[in-house]
Amino acid sequence: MLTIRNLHKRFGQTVALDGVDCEVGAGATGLLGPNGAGKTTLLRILLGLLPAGGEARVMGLDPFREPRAVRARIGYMPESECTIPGLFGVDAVAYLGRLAGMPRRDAFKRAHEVMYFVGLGEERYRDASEYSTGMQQRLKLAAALVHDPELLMLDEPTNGLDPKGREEMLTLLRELATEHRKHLLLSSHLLPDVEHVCSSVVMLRQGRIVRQGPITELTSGEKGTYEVKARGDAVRLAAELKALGAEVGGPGGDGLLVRAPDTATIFRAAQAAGAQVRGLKAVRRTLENVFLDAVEAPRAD
Amino acid sequence: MPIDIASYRRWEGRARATPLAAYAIAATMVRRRMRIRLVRWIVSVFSLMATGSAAATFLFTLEGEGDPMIQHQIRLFGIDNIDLLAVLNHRLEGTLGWFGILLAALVGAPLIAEDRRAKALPLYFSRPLGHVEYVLGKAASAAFFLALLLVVPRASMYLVEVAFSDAEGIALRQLPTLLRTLATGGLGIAVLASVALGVSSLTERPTYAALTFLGISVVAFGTAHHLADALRDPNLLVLEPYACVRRIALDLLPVPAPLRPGTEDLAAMDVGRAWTGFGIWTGLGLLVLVLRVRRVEVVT
Repeated sequence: MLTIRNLHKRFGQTVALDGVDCEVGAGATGLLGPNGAGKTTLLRILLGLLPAGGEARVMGLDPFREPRAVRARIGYMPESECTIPGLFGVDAVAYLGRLAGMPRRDAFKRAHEVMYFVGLGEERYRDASEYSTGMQQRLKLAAALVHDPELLMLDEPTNGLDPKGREEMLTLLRELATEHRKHLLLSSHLLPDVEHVCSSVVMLRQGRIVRQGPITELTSGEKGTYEVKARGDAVRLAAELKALGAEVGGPGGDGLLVRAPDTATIFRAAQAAGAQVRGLKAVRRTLENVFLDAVEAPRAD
Repeated sequence: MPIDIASYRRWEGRARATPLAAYAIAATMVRRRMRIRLVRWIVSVFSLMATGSAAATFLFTLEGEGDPMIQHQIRLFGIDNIDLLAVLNHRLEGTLGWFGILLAALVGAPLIAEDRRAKALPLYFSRPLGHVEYVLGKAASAAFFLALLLVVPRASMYLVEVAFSDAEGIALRQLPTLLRTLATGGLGIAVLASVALGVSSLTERPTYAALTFLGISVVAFGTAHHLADALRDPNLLVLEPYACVRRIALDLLPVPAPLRPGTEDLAAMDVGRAWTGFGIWTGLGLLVLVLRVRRVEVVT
């Protein structure tokens, strides 16, 4: 879906992107990073709105050479609160559909459909500038969807939403990705949002990619790390584990956190220590752990 | 209202960049403006007044009860020897200019400012839309309203002349004059729309944009006429955008002397300078507009 090679961008003395390299496949991908990491800049470059050094391909198209062809196939939901002033909600969506190159009749028909889809069906004929923040977020999503793009680029789509609105927005996005086979690039600094919708992530920090890959892979933790719950002498068990070459990282949850080559080593140590293993599970890391490790680790340079 | 996930349908068409986007912008902007009652009212009154006065002046002139200056010209040159359409166009020019400035402030100056205030530019430019189409679309919507004032009355004078004149072949004979009068209207539209939109791109407040445009028009008028009088140099009238258009109109549609009182300076102005002034004002407006739109779009 996206191929990015050595992408760099400066605004005066500020380095916004510093040699970004990544491949983003089909499906929903989260673009994670703290504020100022370069997420919005990256989206704008991919839309062909900003010039930059390096190479990029969006669905096989070069955004620097064919920006309009790229934008015709992308639905973009900007971060800021924005609307077309003085138009009814449905007219604003149809208008943006026409600007995307849709015939007038199709644009209006489709605008009505997507307004229902995002839950603004009853509010179609209200002035868009009178919409609440939550409704404006939905309107922006409707405008991004109106020309039925293959790829949706969403910049902080849950900004300003209350918990219920946020849940609904995330449900919509997940449905789009799973049921309607839309490819999503969701930029956010909210980890639960990304976990809720996406299957893979790209993590940015100070204009560089620090981690990327499927969420399940990133959170699977280090191979051979287990949380062991045992009945018996915990100190002796720890000593036996160490004697068998395992590392004991101290208490993890209500048991021991053990790094061992295999589970048989743990059972052998328990037998030697006269302890009974009551619980054994591989440790998974949360996306938050992965993210914090990635953004807090010192930079290589 | 709850979301309706099952309602999503695929669209079988294919979106692609189209130059018709400028037309879509213009048509939507015109419709949006016409939803505002005040705009509807002012546009209707202005265009009816302009068209009505053009037609009435023409009819009264034919009846011999019209403007004394025109009667004087008819006595001097005879009705068959003067181009009445050109004379009446000359007489309307100043009035239409001020109406045009007011209308450009009302419907043209807010066009970009309100998009900036609503942060709409990222929505526009995330579509396959270029800056040229955006600017053209906005300019065309301003031009539509200005045309109601600066073109329709002129065309109506021609229609009245054709309808009421007994002269044979009058429609064909007056066609070149009609085209010239429409061209002068077009020049007025170009300079007013570009300056109004240029000013509009400088602020996020539509009211400030309108007041600034009016201020520029009044100050330019006052400065140009004061300096032209004080320094006895009619070429200084180039400082006023619409004076350039009026001088070009006088060149395209020459009228026999005497001219309308107060236009002697205008007639003495060099027509080449007038074209230069027109080009500078229009170009400056467009340059500011394009540069600001590009900058705002990148920064927003």
